[in-house]
Amino acid sequence: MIQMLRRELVDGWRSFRFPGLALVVMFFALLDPPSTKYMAEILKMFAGDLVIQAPPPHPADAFASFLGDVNGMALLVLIVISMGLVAREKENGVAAWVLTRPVSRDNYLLGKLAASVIAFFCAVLAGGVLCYLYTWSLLGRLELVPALVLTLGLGLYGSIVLAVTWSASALGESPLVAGGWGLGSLFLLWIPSSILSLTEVGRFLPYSLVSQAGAVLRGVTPVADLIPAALVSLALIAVVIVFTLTRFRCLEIE
Amino acid sequence: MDYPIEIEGLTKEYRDNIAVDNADLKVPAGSVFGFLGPNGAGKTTTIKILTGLISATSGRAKLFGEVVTTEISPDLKRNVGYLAQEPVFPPQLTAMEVMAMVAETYGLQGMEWHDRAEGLLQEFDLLAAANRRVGAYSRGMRQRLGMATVLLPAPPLMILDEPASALDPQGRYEVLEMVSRLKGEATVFFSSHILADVERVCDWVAIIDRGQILKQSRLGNLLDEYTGLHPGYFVRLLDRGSEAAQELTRKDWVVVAVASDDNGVTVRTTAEQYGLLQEGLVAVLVAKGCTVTELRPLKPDLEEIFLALTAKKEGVEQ
Repeated sequence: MIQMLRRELVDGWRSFRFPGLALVVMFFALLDPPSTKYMAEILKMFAGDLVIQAPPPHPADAFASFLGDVNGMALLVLIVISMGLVAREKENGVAAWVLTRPVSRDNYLLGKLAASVIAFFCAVLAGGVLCYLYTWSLLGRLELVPALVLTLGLGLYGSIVLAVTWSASALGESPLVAGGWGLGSLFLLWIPSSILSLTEVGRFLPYSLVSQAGAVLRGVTPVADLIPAALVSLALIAVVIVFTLTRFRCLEIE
Repeated sequence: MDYPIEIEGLTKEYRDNIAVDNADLKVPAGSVFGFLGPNGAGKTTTIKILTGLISATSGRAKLFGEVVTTEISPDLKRNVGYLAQEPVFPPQLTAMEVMAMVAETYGLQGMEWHDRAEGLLQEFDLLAAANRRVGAYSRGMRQRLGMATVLLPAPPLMILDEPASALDPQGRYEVLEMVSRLKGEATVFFSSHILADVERVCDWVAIIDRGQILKQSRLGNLLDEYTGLHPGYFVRLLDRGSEAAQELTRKDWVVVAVASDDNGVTVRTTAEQYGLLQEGLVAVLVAKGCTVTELRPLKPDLEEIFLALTAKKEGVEQ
């Protein structure tokens, strides 16, 4: 699998898929701390005679804003760059070439998923570190452990979306279908959470990895409360992987 | 292993057509086996089943005695080199990186593969472009790179799907020479619709048309078997050859046509009277005072045999 992983990392880097994703994450890491700090001033500039009373900016707001933006925009970029992972190679014949070398179908698929997960985690972690330091310099110090755990939690949450998109790309007919499944998974993860967020079940839903960011960063919710959602997320990813590998083993590559 | 490739009752059906129809085939070890058929005959489908890309509807294909499925093991694949009709490689890799990937997946150790890879790229005129990304290669360059990737690990079985179809005459000559040199060292399963290529390099041949294997034989035996397609002899005479030979048709004998040139005389008869010509030709020529220095039956070429076989099949279907 290492050969396939290396090949995919090279491919992702040279085709600008991975640097593009990292740049989007970095953009929000650089945007959110100053926009949080100066939001009140910016609003005053447009308010005219209106009096706007905003609470003083808190470092947790800047970091939570970063996580929220990555959850929104960067996940869309992630879907776009991963929807052709396998489907495009099935279309252009690269998959047939690779699979007629001494490479198992499992390794081919796992190499692709692993490379994208690594790239996404690296981008999110790098963005998280940048945002953390920038926030510290502008707004003051933030607790490191919750910020780190939430960043990893976002990486895990994004990996569910990535796994679904990868699966649809491997088993489906075209990149567009895979993109549709990726978007669908975003909604499927969000809708039950928005309904059940106040119930005990809500703690187990993956979306709570990102929805509780503000509360965890301010210390209202303990970090340990994210563990059930993290475990469910890992289980979901494992189910998607097993299902995809099983189906792909007997798939015809024309 | 006597037969690296064995196909038994292989059938591949799609929704609206049968691409391969109950095909049986055995490819002897060490042979260069031409798999001959027109476009759409079922060659590529058969090869895709053999390489585990698609599965058969019924029947089975075996490589080195092991039944092939879409879950074909990497260990078995290590014995097989495959060149697709239109080879495609990961476009972001350079040719040398593609060779490195092949070397690694086939388990080639150390850096010996690197010298061998350079040698092959040189041989296929790709060394100057070795560090260019293959996404920018022309079709001909990709086909040459494809041949190099197949030859790098030197597997005991090579499956080549139309390996020279995108090449210019020089490239085509080099690839066919390369395939020729492999005779006895590896088994080469070589699909083509270009009969001259197959006739030039193959020692075994199978003809497929509309999914059915019409014939499988040693090439020499096939040419002998179809001698009757052109009943006649080529004769070389020592002196006054052509005038004496021309007189053959004036008699009421089995000869229907005579043609002569500087090389010799071609004597033709009908299929029914070929036996009589065979028995009597030398005696007749000697009686005319000719000295026969060479006598050989006329043989059809592969193209004529192919057309005869496919026409026969069409006749049966009608």
